[in-house]
Amino acid sequence: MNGNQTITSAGAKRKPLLSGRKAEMLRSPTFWGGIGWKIFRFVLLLGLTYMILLPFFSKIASAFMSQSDLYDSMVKFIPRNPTLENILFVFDYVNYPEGFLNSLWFSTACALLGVLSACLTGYGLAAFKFRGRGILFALVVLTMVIPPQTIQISSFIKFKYFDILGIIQLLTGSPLALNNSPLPMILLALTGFGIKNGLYIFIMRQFFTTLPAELSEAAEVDGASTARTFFQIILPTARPLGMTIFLLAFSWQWLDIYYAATFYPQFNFLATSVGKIANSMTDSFGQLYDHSAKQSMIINTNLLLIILPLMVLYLVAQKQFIQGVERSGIVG
Amino acid sequence: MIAQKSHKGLSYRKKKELKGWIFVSLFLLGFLVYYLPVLIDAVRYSFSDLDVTGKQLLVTFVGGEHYHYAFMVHPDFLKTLVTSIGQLGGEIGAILIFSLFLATVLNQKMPGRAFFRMIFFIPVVMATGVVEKYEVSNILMEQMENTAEMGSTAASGALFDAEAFLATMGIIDPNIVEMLSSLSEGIYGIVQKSGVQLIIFLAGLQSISPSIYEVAKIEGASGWEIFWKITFPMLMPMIFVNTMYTIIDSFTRSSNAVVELITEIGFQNSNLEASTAMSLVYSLVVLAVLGIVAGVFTMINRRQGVER
Repeated sequence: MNGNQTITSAGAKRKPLLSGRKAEMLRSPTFWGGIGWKIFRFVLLLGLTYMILLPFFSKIASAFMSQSDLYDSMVKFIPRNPTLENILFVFDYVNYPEGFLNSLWFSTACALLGVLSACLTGYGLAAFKFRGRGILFALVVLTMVIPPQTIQISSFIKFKYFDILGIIQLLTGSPLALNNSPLPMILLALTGFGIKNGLYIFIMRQFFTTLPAELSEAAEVDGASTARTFFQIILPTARPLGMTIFLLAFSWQWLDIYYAATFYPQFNFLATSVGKIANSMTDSFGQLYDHSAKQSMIINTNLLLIILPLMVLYLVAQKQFIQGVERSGIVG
Repeated sequence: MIAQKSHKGLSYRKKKELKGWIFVSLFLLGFLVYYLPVLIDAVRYSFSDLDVTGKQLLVTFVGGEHYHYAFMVHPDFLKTLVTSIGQLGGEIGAILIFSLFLATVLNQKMPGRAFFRMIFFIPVVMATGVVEKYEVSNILMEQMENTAEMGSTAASGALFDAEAFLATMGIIDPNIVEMLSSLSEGIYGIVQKSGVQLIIFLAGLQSISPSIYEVAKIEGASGWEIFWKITFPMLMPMIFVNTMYTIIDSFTRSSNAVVELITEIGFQNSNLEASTAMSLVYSLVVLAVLGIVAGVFTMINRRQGVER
């Protein structure tokens, strides 16, 4: 932000030095619409870029810091005594390889199912006229609008005592306990009720409404079944947007601690390991170390290890991600 | 062909309707088996006492006790609710203005545009869940932002806290110091929360045909006029969607003060019923806010329609 001020003040100072036509050019509105604006814009974007990347720098820095660096006032970003101690500690403490694999398969499964159900529901709502379609779409919006916290506890109970119309109770004598298993999240993603799935359905529906009806009609005239039309004609057109949603769904599932804590608290996800490490550190060192720099250092290291795979994924897929965003029918 | 024969009794329209139902059946199943019962249960539990320790769930009806607790007994619930609504109002406005401004900037042709876009979409992917939760209490980052916060606790006495220094010296009114520091924290938060809105605005800007701008320029409209007379009205649907999204997102993210309080009461204090009652009240508040905002938008739209 200071950068902007220096730029403008430098421009103002230079003014009297310039004579005649140049000064006129500076005063003309096209200058500020031109070079002045360009410089301001660039500095602003650079400043914001710094702001967005700062958490990553700070995490990387603290991951390699030794304890003596913490209390060294000269050390800000570059540790004086770099060490792998923190990383090795966290890697070991949270059993990183196991957590990584767990998070990987679980996030992939949930994201894939979420995208699939969003495509199916979105296409159903967009391409077919049937009575009740408006109500169904309103229900999708409703699931987006109601805070997930409202149904957190009743969802927890629902899956702890899982039953459909009392059938399971009849067969086995007691309802199924599905909590502490991956099933709740998988089932929710499959039916479009996982993390932010309402949003995915909404976006997909908006996209499919922009597709011309001729596309599916032509396929039908050629004798393709509805299923074939959907999988071979419609879905490929939605690929860029589907990729974007997959990336979002994967990342949000990867970082989720809320649903994990509700349905699967004992499972070793990467994201939930932070809570465990934070709690156990306060337990073992007492209140003294709560919110201390050491604890913060360890948590930062853990967060870095969690987001590192996501960063790699984002860097690999960002081109497609941005394309999907730009071509999406979010606009309606 | 065989499939068609078996449906011979149905008209083309009926068949299409049936196919539509098949496509939405997964969602419908989820809604009927999971979402609707769970929503009803939430209301039911908020009027009951629960026993979730055994193999069977025990529910005893107790009336409005938990609502009484939420409003009359609990020391913080009402206060947190009111203050957080006030805070969110300002924050939501700031997010919308910021993301609209940034989207117009990022929509311009310039060197490094692809790079900047890549950077500004990072918060969409990263700033949720566990990252968001622990970033709030991230001491090290604060330390890096304003130098030497640790100085007071560490051995070196030469360091000072700029904020406290300014305040104690009486150079600047402590209120202003606090406001400035909360503003810089605020900007950081707003950047982190503007990702999806930025995407939606960018997509909207790109859907405006460039020929409209060309015509306006030929007619001699200034950049300012073009923004208010063309870009802004054309973006109205996106502004609406973004306002709704921002409200929902701000009210339901897990770092929200009310949400934190509700979760704490439910899972740490194991008062599941009171937590459910509070979250129901909270949902009604959110729905009311959304309803009011949607109403305002339809009014604006109608008025614009009349003007034209």
